Amino acid sequence: MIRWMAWRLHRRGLLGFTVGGFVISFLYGAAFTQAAGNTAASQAAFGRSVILVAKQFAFLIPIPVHPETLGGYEQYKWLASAIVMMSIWAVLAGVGVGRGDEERGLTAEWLVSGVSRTRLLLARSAAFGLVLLVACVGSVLGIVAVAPVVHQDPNFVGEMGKALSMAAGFFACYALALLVSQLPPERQTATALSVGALVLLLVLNGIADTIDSVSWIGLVSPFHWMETTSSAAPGGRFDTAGTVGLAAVAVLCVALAVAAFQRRDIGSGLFRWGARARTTVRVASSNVMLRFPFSEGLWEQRVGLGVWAVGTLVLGALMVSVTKSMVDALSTDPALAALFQRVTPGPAYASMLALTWFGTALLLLAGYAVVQVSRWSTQDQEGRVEMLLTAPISRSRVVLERALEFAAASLVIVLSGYIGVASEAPGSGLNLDPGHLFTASALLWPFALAFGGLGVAVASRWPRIAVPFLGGFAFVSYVLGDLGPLFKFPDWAQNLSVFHLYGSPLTQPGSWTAALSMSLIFVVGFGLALVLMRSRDVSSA
Amino acid sequence: MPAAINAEALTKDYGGGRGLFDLSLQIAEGEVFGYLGPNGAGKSTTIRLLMGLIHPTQGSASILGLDSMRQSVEVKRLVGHMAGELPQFGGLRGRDIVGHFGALRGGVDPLRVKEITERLDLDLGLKYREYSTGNKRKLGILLAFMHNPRLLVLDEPSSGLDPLNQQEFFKLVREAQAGGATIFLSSHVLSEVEHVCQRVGIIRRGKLVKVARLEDLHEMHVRHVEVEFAGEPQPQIFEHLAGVENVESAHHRVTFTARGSFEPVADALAGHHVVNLASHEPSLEEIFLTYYQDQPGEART
Repeated sequence: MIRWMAWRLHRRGLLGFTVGGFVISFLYGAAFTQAAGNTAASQAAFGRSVILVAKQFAFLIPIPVHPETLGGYEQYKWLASAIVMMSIWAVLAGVGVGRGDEERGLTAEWLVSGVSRTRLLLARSAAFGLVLLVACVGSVLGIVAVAPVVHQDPNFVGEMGKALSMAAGFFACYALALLVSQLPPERQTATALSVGALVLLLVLNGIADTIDSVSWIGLVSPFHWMETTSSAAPGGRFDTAGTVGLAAVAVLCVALAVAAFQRRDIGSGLFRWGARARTTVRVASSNVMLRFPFSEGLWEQRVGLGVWAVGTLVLGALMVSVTKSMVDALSTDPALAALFQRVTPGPAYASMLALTWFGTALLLLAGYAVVQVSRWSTQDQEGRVEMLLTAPISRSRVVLERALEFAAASLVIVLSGYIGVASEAPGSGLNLDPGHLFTASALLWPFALAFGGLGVAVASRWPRIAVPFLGGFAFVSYVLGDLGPLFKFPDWAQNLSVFHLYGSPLTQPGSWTAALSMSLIFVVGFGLALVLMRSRDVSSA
Repeated sequence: MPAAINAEALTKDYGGGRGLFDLSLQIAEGEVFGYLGPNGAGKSTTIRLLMGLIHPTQGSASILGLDSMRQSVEVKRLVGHMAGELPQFGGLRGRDIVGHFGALRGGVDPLRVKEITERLDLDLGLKYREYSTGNKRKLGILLAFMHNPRLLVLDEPSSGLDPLNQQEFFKLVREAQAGGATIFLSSHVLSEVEHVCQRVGIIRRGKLVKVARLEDLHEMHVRHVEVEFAGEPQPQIFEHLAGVENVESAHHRVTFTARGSFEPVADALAGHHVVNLASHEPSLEEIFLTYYQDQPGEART
């Protein structure tokens, strides 16, 4: 029973990542000949150029192995992104098992029904391990399926090896989050700590890949050990020791989490500090932030929002600090410099920053929108919206306050990124046009609002499907923005991608039409939310 | 003066026989009304309809003369609501939750908050996740009562409270009524409402099956009768009598229930050698159980 429940609780993620992974890997594979050409010579030249460019992005992605082949191209183009997305999924699942189930009362129900703590965590972990394996296999099967279409080697064994390595890596991420979740007493803090640990491991791997003298620090990161298996590309290597090591670390973390779970009380953290003497409180808080739902929402997520803001600021500054060295290295090879100029016309430093920082910022903001929608959806299902509506406020006000809350929070994140980039740029020798930098940063806001608008519309009527919907939309939008130019989709089709709508305002004049379009999505989304919220039945039951 | 609650043919049909059907009910201002029914009978659906949280399939409801859907914001200014179960507030402290909802409502007297927390012995300094079930109920009571509303809609308010706090809660209800408030109190246990209610409505399978004053229910002439004969029992002499049901016999005894006048039973006993005759009224709890149980052959709504 517990095993069945464990499977069932991950069914949406399993379905989304398995089917989504298959479809995306198939589509990227189908685009291979569009990008690399049909002849061996053109594919070889394409492979060389990809390696030269990718070396400059070693901070973000591993150096591609045989990108002139379908498997190598997919490993660089799709699986590198999939690794980041699926590791976030694994971490959130770890927090869900470690804390989320507990806050929803599921853990207590299972324990009182006679399931031991050890069995509970082991069953949940084993089920998620299997879910990960299936999803990873799905993510590479699209490559095997599309290979005959583009006349390439399916490399079945190699693809399965890569899937196995990824599953082991994600399981390690999951187990780490499960362990970290035992420390604090609540889900919110557990999420912040676990996501923070994941970002740290990602950054450590990036630093290790970029700076040879400290490459050893990458050894602590599961991302490093996932990169050491490159068997998705023909001729690539399956790192048996690395994969086994990842699995062993995962098992160790699960075992430690079980031990911690045995020691602590349900609803409490692992460590309980001595109770402070305090007087009984009989008065309501006069905190002005609690006066309105939107400011109450900001207050309640102040720690998480702070982590997002500081993380964005640091990441922005970090990316600026490595941009000059990337461009300078690129400039030493005239052929490569010419290729880079062709791919990203405009001032070199700005073009590189547009690719690195602004590309990342778009993903971060889309991710933040998904997190916010997840929060609204949870509040709705747990009865917070129902309770809010028993106070004398209208349904329209609930939606408007959500809009305000999202707009304010995303503005804080956008501003943090801008401050990080603008303050680091002069010290790093980047001579950026202040107006363009401001415009590019400012346009991130309507980009985030567009996702928020879509999310709130769905969350207002169908809270249970809001997260998979927005996550799926963000994913498809990103892939459409990426593949649209390769498949030479018409402009209107490419403009369906919000990522494409944003464009590249750091190097090209900012498109106010795009800004208007993104703002319009926000306005229409919230307008739709007003109508949908009014017409629905609000009930947590 | 408009009724505090006026429901007319109020229906919420979820399909498959679930929901609330054709509820017509008037509750006068100042009345304490108990709304009784087993789990899943439609009590919470009724409350959600009254609070404008869900849309009726047909019919309408008004609260203190205001339409519960179209004027729901105005309605909620006048109402104090306590849900059957409070949602998760995670790391927020009790004082934050009270501060937040107090600010949304406006007009909450800090002295009233202090008074209720003292009477219920509720510490607002704790985080919500640290509250026990009973303390969460106390917080719900505080949120419902703190602004002295004209109508209190309470969903199983005293379940989870210890006896002392239950008594304190009933005192709060009586004081609110004395101050002119109307109270709509939903429960699935009679003991929760019989302390304070004047009238009760019994709902089963989404339909209101009985509305009566508590004393009227007591006075319903239903008796359990036990007759002990000297010789063989004679159940057949009762089987066709008006108002007599559930005739059973064992050894020298015959038992049955008799509604209405006792005269036909007395007439039937004439000429028989009866050694003992016992008759007693069922308890209030038993009366309610007869309404809760399915009637033989009754189809699901």
